[in-house]
Amino acid sequence: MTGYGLVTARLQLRWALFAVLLMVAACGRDPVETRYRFTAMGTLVEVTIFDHPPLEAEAAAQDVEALFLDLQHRWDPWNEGPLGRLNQALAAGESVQLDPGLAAIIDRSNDIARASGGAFDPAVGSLVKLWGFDDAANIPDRPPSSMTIRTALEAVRPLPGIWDPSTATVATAPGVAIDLGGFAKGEAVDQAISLLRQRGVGNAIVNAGGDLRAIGRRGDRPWRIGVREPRLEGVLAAIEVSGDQSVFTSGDYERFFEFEGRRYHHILDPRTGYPSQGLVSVTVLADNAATADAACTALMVSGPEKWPGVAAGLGLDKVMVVEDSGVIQVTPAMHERVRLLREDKPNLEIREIP
Amino acid sequence: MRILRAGDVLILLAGTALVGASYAAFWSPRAAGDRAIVSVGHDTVAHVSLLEDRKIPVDGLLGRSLLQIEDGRIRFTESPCPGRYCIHTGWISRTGQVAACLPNGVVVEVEGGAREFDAINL
Repeated sequence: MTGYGLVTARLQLRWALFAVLLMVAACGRDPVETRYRFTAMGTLVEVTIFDHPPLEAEAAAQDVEALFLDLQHRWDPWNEGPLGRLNQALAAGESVQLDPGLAAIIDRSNDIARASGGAFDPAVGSLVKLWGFDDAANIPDRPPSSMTIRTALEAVRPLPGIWDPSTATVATAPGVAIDLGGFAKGEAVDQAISLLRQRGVGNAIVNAGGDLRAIGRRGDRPWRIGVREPRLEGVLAAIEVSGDQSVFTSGDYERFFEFEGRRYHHILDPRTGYPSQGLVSVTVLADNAATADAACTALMVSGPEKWPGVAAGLGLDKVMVVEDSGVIQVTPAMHERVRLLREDKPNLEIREIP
Repeated sequence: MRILRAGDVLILLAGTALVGASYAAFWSPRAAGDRAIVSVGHDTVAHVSLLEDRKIPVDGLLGRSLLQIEDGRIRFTESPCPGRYCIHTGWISRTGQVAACLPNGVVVEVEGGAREFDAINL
């Protein structure tokens, strides 16, 4: 090669290097992220879609909004929708055969109620109403009297005892009202993810008031999820998810009031009629959002000692709970997934699922 | 013939270091946001700086909510809602954090820094 040729080759190499470096630098800029937010089911819902044409992404998110609003109407225990009509009929002493749509969700919630050993039970609607936790816009200022709680509790019959899946019929049960809170949000998130997939969306989070299911990834990294501190400001832990996973957290700080120095929160123990005790928050990582949602309620109710047994019944292996004493209990599988962010070393206990 | 000489290696190393340094400078996480976006329903009603302490009234669906900005943080201090969840939320300052008064339709989100999380489990 001539000297001239050698210089040209070297120059070409430098330009090639420059071009590669430029591309590497340009890779730092993210593809488009579309965020769409709306209010439904008494909470703020956010749809995040990554690396999808923005107009299509926004249209898909608007369809998710329409879906949530439709489900909110269908599953409101106290309005004129299908579930509201079921509760009116139960209050009138009738047995009711359900349409296939409502029957499907009642059946799924019944399976979870059974698997949780009664720690989750949608048949506590009258208790939820008695406490005043049925209205997302309002908060009660005092607990009901112990007498009225006892009366309401005596009228409750667990869902598995009144639901016949073979005929899709709810048996006569005056005093029972079905409330899908603690399950409906998760079910809606699952349906929203199905809708997004039908629209060709592969990377998304549907986040209903902090409870979410994430699919795909955020470009070259997993989705990053923070779990809030139950008692302090800020974030307790970080969890990275990719592929398809749901992360749900329930706590006694979400809806509560204080009366005479005591906190009363919205997660009621179906066996006592009072708010659950011992745990301040439960975080569940599961494939399915509806299961994760109901599991949070069931594990809060089960308390600091018994929750691993209930988690086993529900087929869960990734759970983190925070006790009212501040101790964090975590399953081995969850321990591998969470990164605790507290500056002070937390009091951590590893709990095996039996 | 050697295609790559010592000088070329130097250029390559220097270039890589430069890209790394600029990447770190421009893209490293800075979680604290310096502004907030205030919306009512689907409408954005204000972009506010968090660098200047003040109080901001926002007219929502029920009435007037009051937001307070102090030391780079923002919070609800008054709202016409019965539940007062918005006020319970307290201060927010990190990019992506949200405080909302749903009955009044007022939502505040911190912007301007790097997002640590794509979503927060509440």
